[in-house]
Amino acid sequence: MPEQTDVPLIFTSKGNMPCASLSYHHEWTVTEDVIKFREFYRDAAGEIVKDCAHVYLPKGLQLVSTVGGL
Amino acid sequence: MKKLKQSFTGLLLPLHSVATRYLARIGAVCYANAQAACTSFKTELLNGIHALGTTVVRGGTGADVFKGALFLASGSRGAATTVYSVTDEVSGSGYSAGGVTFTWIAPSATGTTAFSTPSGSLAWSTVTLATAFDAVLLYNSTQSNKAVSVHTFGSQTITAGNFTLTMPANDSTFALLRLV
Repeated sequence: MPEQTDVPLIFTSKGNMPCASLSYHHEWTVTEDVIKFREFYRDAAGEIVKDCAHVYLPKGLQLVSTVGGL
Repeated sequence: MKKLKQSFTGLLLPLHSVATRYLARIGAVCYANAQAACTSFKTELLNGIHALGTTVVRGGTGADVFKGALFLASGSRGAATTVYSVTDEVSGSGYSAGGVTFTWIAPSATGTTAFSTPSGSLAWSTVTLATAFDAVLLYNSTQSNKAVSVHTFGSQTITAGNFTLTMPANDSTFALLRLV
């Protein structure tokens, strides 16, 4: 049986590409309203071929009730 | 006698006012009515119990189906939004128009605040959304796609990847929807 070599692949805009051929990057955006984690991959030419974002909403909306007087 | 009664009353009322304020300050029980929207009413609103108008007829007890759809940064979703529409909704590989379905945590109240939050993250897997988007519209697809709320999160694009919206803690301070 021929020896098999598994090459980790990742799905990108250019199809499945070897992870080793890509450079991984990430960045955080932290504000009072949003915390965002972005991770993206560039190919050898520098093009972003995969870009993911994970957003955390730390606080929702407040609806204030007001009752009028008579 | 009448003048004596008037001056006595004139003395008592201010004293009563001072005493009431003092008792309230020290936390003593004051039997007095207080103007407010009832907390139970707020929770019941979230449960669709009160129909102040005649436009909704409910035959069942199941919760409505709610969805979350993403909108372009160039859009204008906001407080004036009344219903979901495809105008300015994102489009791209892996994204289905109308967005994703979610359920709400059963509404409850703490103190005078009723609240609820989607029970899980809203997620879109392996999508490509090449045009910048920055908002999600939550709407009631059972009730003619009526809008619930708009939440913004900063402009971004997605390329052959995942986009996840994680919800806040479901409590009276941070829940996604809070009626105070």
